[in-house]
Amino acid sequence: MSKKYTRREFIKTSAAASAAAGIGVSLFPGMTFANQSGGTNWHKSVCRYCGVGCGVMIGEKAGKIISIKGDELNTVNNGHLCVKAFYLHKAVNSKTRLHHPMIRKNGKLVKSSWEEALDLVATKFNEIRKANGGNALAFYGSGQGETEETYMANKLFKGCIGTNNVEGNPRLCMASAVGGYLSSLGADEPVGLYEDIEKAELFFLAGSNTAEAHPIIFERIMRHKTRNPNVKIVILDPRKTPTDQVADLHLFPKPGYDLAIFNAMAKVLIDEGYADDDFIAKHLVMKNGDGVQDFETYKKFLNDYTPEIAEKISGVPAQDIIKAARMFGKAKTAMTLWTMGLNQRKRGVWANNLVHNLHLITGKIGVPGSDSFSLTGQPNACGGVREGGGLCHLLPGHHLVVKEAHRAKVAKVWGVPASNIQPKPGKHTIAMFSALNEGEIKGMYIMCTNPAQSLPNAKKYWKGLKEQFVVVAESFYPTMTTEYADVVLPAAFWTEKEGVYGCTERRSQYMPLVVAPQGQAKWDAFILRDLGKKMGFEKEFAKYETAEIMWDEYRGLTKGKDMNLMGASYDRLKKVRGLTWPVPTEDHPGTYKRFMAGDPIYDSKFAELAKKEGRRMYFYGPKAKDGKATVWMRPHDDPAEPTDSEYPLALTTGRVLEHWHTMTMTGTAPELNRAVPNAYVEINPIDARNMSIKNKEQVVIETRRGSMQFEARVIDRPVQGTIFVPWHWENKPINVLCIDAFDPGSKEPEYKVAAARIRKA
Amino acid sequence: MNNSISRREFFSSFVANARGSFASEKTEKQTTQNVVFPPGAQNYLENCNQCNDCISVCPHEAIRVFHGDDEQFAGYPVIEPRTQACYFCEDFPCIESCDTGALVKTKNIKLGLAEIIENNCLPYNGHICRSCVNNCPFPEQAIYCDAEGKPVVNENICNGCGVCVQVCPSDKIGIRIKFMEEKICLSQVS
Ligand code: SF4
Ligand code: SF4
Repeated sequence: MSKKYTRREFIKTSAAASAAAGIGVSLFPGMTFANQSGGTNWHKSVCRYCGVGCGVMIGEKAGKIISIKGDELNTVNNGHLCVKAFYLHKAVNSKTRLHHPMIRKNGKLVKSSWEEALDLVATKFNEIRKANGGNALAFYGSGQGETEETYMANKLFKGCIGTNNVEGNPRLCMASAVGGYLSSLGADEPVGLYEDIEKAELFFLAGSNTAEAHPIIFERIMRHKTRNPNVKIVILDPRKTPTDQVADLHLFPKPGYDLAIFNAMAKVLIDEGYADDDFIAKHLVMKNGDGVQDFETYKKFLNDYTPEIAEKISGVPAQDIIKAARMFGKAKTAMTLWTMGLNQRKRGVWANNLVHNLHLITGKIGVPGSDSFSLTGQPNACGGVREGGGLCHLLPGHHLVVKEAHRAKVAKVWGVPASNIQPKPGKHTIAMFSALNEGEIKGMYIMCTNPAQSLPNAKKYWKGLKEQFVVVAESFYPTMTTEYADVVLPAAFWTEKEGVYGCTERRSQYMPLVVAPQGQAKWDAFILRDLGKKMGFEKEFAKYETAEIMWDEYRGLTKGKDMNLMGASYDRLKKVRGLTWPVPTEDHPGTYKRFMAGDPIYDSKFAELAKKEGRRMYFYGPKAKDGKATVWMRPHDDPAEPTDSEYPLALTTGRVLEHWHTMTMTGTAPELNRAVPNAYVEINPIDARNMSIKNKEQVVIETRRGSMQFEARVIDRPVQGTIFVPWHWENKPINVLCIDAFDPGSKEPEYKVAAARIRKA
Repeated sequence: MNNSISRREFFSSFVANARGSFASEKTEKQTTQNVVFPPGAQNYLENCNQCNDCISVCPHEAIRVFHGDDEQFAGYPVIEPRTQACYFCEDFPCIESCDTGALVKTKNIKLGLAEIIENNCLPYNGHICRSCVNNCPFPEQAIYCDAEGKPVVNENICNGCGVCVQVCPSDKIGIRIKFMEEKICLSQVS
């Protein structure tokens, strides 16, 4: 192409571009219609997808949701959105929305009335309860349900039916982070907020493809780095991803072998003088399985993790580990961000502990720009399930079923006898679906999630879903799970209900009801309420006429807790762009950093004590003693299913930018399907050559749990010996091949590592 | 990645993936702006006699008869990347099938060059998208994200295959393939 040619072309196009600009046509997708026509009402809300919690404006015209745009006043995203959110209105209006209840009759789901469907569920559940006890029933919810919805489920199952078999899909993604925060810092959820991003000098992205899984966070990191070239980014991931675009250093561990790297980094930090001795002395205790140890013991423990030893275990060159540690040590402030790469592991809690260690021993915590910050996958995993108590050992508002005082307090608010709430935790997710397989659980209510596709080793659990009495409340139909349902209840979708979502950064945000539910769809919280009434708990559920009543009752339970939400009334939440707890009173602005000056709990209860002891932080959470955080000595441990000669490849899974979870929502936007229409397997080029696999060829992945055919994408992304498959597609449900081994502490399954092999189809 | 696999091998990528029925998506009318000529086009409008052989041999149905309003292109086999991008088959059956000299095998075949339409492209308007970059079949990335996350075309690598156009999820397409041939370029833009 000649120079002259380029120039002419250049002039022509720029002329064309300025012409388009001149007539003032805004070409933002989804906004076009709204901009060109009057009468569109914009409603402040929150994105329905990931845990970032971006503020959106919902465009409604004549009772129909017509477009979505970013909320410029929301500090999370400043008006920016990722491509998924733009097409949310297509999910609202999709043909796959379910408009009426359905009951399985003669093997087929047929349309029914609400009356018939709820009567059937209530009768069946009561029969089961009478014959087999409350523990023969179970609830399986979602980090996408609103806090109010999970609250209703908790009351019905734990408070009325009397079973703690209440779980939710955050068990599959956040449980290890919860375990990590509790055991290391004494309380769940991060110390700081997103605003630390713009103050950080170093980012350590461990097991997170931030660019695709948390796009707006990535954008904030990228902007910050562009403006501040001294900002450095270190990535720890067995796969090169779009996040690498900004990386200064990338460590490629073999999947499941990274624990040694964190320990080796800690060793380098201490050996080279980057440790904050004063912070260590005043704020930390060292522990191993035997209990509290001294700092010397910790140092001795680390001697087993020299960078060279870590190299042998993980495959990451010692020099790179040292480099990463030095970058971490030298930077004045550092933020570690992680997600499923650390959480979905047989030793997910340990991985979390070891990340916290790095921040604790260097004092890079509790200062602006430094934090050990877990990224959440779902929009309300933090708010509804971790805070709302949607797991088998929890009660709403950071209360525990094992504590008598907690049971009594919650039971009183619920208006049920304290003896209704069982003192023993119920079954965790995998145990619950195993019990469903075995018939120990005979009835299950599934809300807003698709376990038939998303459970690890999914096929194994289809048996129970098929054989037992399964109720699915869903906005979309069909899904893999509705295939097994005995009753399907049409749930109102986002924009058709009000409620609160709590995102990654402890921020609770209000979502308004903008349009009426489609067809006969009903709000999940009302379905549960009405089911409760039909099951005989008329009195217990009589008062819940609005979402606000539910929220206020829940809010009351958080009073005086570390996650105090008393100041977050609906009135207030409707006006502001979310509030970050603790927010004890209606005039409190919300908290930036916990456990230190500015945190209302710290200020009122611990500041004086801390001052006396010469400390800047006081870890006051339920699991911390004397206000101290814990540095855990966690050894290396192999993944549950190491690769071997039979299955020589490590299979790992993840998200793509354009799709989300099991695609019930993103699959409704042709634009997103166009961008990534099918599943595929990424194979390292060297592995591909060794197996004579060509790009685009059909291959079969085999694990000990089954086999599945994929198109090969030969690409220099996964490290040699590793293959990657995105998990969204119903016709290629890769989770069927994943292992269901789980972390003994958090009970979170090891989705991220399974032994596999590949052959040509 | 460099030489781990041949570029060509890699190139026969994602296109098939990206095929699908986009029934509910509004399709754009064909114009001289959104189509390109098949691989190896030489003085195409003069040489091609519209025998349609290339159309019948294309294994991926990428070549179709132009059916837009523009008379200049009427009846000619063209590729409309939004519907189906070119695979750049190893053996170019389309060129093999052509005996008029309209399609000729040369060393470095390019259909055109990708060009971002900044008014439409999401990242140029402050949002997050990288579908074109993620799907670019060139391991060396004929299109990449700059420091602000905006896609930028590397004209030295890009061969105008059109995968980026096919996958772009913006409802106003954020990218197009502009012709290489100067003459056509003029008619395309004017
Ligand atoms: S980054 Fe997450 S919350 Fe923000 S627009 Fe995208 S999916 Fe929605
Ligand atoms: S796919 Fe389209 S909208 Fe997205 S970055 Fe590329 S050109 Fe822009």
